[in-house]
Amino acid sequence: MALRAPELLQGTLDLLILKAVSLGPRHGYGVLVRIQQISKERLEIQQGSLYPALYRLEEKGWVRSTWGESENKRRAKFYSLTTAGRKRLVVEEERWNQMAGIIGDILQTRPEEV
Amino acid sequence: MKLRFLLFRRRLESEMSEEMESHLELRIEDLERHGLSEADARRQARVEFGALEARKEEARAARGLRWVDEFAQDLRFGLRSIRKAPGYCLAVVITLALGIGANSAIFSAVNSVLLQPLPFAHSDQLVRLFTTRGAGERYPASGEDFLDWQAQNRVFSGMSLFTGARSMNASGAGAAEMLSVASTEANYFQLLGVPAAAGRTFAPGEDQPGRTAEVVISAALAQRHFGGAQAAVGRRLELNFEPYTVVGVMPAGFNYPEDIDAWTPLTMTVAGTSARGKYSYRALGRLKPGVSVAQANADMEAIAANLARAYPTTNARLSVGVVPLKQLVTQDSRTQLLVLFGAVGLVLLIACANVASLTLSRAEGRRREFALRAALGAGRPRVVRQLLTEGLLLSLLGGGLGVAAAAALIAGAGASTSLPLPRIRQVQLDGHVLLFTAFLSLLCALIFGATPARGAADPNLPEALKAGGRGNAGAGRQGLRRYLVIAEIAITLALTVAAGLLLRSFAALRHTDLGVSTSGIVTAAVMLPDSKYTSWPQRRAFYDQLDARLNQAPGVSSASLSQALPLEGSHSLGAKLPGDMDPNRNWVEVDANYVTPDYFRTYGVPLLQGRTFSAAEMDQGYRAGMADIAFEKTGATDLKPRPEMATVAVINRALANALWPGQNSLGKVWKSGVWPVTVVGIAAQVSYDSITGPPQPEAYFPITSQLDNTWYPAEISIHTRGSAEAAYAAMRSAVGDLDPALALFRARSMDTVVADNMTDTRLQTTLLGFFSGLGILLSLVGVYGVMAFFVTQRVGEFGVRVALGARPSQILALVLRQVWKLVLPGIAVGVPLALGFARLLGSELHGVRAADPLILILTAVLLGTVALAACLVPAMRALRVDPLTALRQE
Repeated sequence: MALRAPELLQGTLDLLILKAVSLGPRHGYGVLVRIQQISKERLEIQQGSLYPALYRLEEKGWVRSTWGESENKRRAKFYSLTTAGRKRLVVEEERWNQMAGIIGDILQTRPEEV
Repeated sequence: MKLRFLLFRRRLESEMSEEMESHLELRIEDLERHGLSEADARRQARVEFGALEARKEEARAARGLRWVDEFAQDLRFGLRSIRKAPGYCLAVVITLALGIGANSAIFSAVNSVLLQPLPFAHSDQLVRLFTTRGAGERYPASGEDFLDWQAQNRVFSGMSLFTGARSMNASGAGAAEMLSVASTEANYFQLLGVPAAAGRTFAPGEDQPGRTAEVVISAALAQRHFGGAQAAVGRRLELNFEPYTVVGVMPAGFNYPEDIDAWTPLTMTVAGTSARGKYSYRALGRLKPGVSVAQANADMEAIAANLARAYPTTNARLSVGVVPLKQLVTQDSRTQLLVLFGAVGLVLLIACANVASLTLSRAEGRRREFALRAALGAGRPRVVRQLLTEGLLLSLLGGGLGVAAAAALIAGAGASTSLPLPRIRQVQLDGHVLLFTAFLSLLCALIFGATPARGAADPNLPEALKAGGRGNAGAGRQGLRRYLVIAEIAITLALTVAAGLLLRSFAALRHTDLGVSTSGIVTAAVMLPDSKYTSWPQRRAFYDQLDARLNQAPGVSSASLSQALPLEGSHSLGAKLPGDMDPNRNWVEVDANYVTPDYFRTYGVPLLQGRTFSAAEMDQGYRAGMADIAFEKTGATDLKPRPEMATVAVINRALANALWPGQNSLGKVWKSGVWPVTVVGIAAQVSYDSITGPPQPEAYFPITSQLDNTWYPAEISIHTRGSAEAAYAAMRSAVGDLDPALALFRARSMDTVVADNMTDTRLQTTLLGFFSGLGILLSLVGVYGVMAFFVTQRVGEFGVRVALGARPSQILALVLRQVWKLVLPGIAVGVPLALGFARLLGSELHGVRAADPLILILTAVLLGTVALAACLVPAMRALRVDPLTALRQE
């Protein structure tokens, strides 16, 4: 059973996009496919919601876009990480790991430990 | 950043579409690779992507475009819905334009008169100084005291002495005319911080005696006499036949201390001003920076105490009061303006209530539209924003029209010369007013946009769609409309009660006994310049001959001369019993008039006891006046009555009671200063200072005893049997025969004098009447709206009732019960509101109590009638309901 994107924590989609784009310029669909590949199809992202997120990141200056040609010889917009985006990714990753650690600890807590 | 998106919006939009398109294509190819048919793949890809338009919308929001986008959409939509409901929109815009226009105009007046600083440099530092006695009694300053104040104070950076306006005969250039002239110290204009517009103001030392005379004139006089400010500088101007040189012209609008045509230097010596004990000058001071009015008062009180010790005969019990200039300039109009401001505020509230009510009933009709929009995916905030945008559009339209109306009103007020507001010509629409108007418009938009939004944005979707915009939904909102109309009625009641009170008070004023008859009396003034009429015998001869000629003129039933006219103010002096030498005992303050013997006959003032002056007493008064001048020159200050100054007077009961309570005063002697005065007659009360107020002590002296006074012209009064024109002609020929160079001025009927005295009351009454009329009209519309809606909603019910045999009277009763549900609570809430508002009027009311039951009842009846009239049309409709049609509609 795949997790649907809305069930993800707020901001997680941004993090995933940043990570996907950091592995090399991708067009929108490519970003989606890459996230699904990395997650081994365990994450299902509502495809339409990808674009608002991409535009939001571009607005913030973390990704930039250029028009290029896709595998099927169509015009497509390719997204890549900016320097600010790279820094942001580091920060977000750190924060995510921290949060995951804390929540993991909480969930593993047994009654006698309280 | 936003701008970039606006400019490239079209391009971004197409890029976004292209990008999403290409995404879908890529996905479809992928799915086809997984073995789906092309059609299936296309469908699958669409489903996975989600609602394309909604995604685009989200994407636009992410771009920061959505707000701009939706606003433009709202605007377009708003304009479209205005076109769709022109009647509603016209009603709203006009209602708001009236409310906002009236508010902006009155706010302009409040702003210019009360809020803006006076047109002087650092005007908050400027104060007037008064001689005070007891609590709050203010008198002018004595020149000699002023010189001491100036020398001893530590709180003023500068002080200046000046006089009020007096009339002077101007000649030398253009037609001879009467000017209003004030005399000032040389530093007067520097102290106010206003430089001349052309030429200069007085130089230091120009107020010393024995110099050639300089004069500073107003912009209006410069224009009138010399054709412009620059042209006037250096020209000669004769004032009372003495030559002056115009050294400067003040800027237009500068008219302190009152409407002044020319300012002449005040000779700053004790002799040139006034000795201690004589109070006829005005003192102006500029506080040093950081000094408060309270500190100034303390300092001046200390100086006054020193003076009282040094000069007990004149200065005992006197002190000095320091009053901010602005307070003096605005004090009279303050209450009036605030009352008007309150009234227009109420009108605006009524207008808003009406607009909100109109909008509510429109929203009712649009329920289906809102439901449809919600079904198509418009979020609740989106619908609310749409409504607010529509409200904003209408409010701005209304506000714009309102500003135009206010500008027209103000232009009209500025052109009028009879408005009793100080600084009225400075009233203008400025940035403050426009801000105020914009604020009002936004407030209105919020109020009436948000009211329907509250309900409309929460549609029970399927229900609303089914009901098709009709049906019984929205009972709660109907309740809201009722409350709005009830509030309207309450506020209108308050306004109308206030207008009614003012009207009654005005009527009471008009019927107040002035103590004189006014009909058939015409007056004019003539001034004997002391440069030409240098000697007393000359002046007395002129007055005697003028009086005789006037009384013999055809059509004249009685003519007289006097120094003061009823209602126009009078000279005041102090009265005491002759033996009273105690400086600590107060003088009785007496309004004095100097008259010829026929004055009482001309004005129909009954002599209750005794008689008017005989010829011998006119002579005696003349001798007393001459003796007074001789006495002045000795410089003596004791207050023993002098037999050579013995004169006679006619006094009123108030003075008689003050001097000899409970006794017959005829033949008794009192003293005014050093003058022993014998009472020869008791006259009825005459109003000199104002129509209202308790009777003041009054005394009349022979006009012959006050011939040196060049400050006041002689007022001619004629009681005519013929026309006013004939009376003026008689005056002109009588004066012209005696001296062709003398101008007759201020010619007007006594009725005009009285009317002039009531101008501000009349203006206020008219305005409040207008506002309350506006309120009644708006309430009428409000009641009509609610009732019409009530009937429309109940058509079906009425149909059933009629079908079941209800008589028309029963249907009518149903409608009427609904009206009373609006009117009775409206009156119940309105009465306390009205009482509160009437209390604000308090001091403005004469001869009527703030809680006047007659007016309250009349107003309530009036509003009830108006409400009934408003439901006439809906009621007729209810009566004409045809059961078949009505039931079919169900």
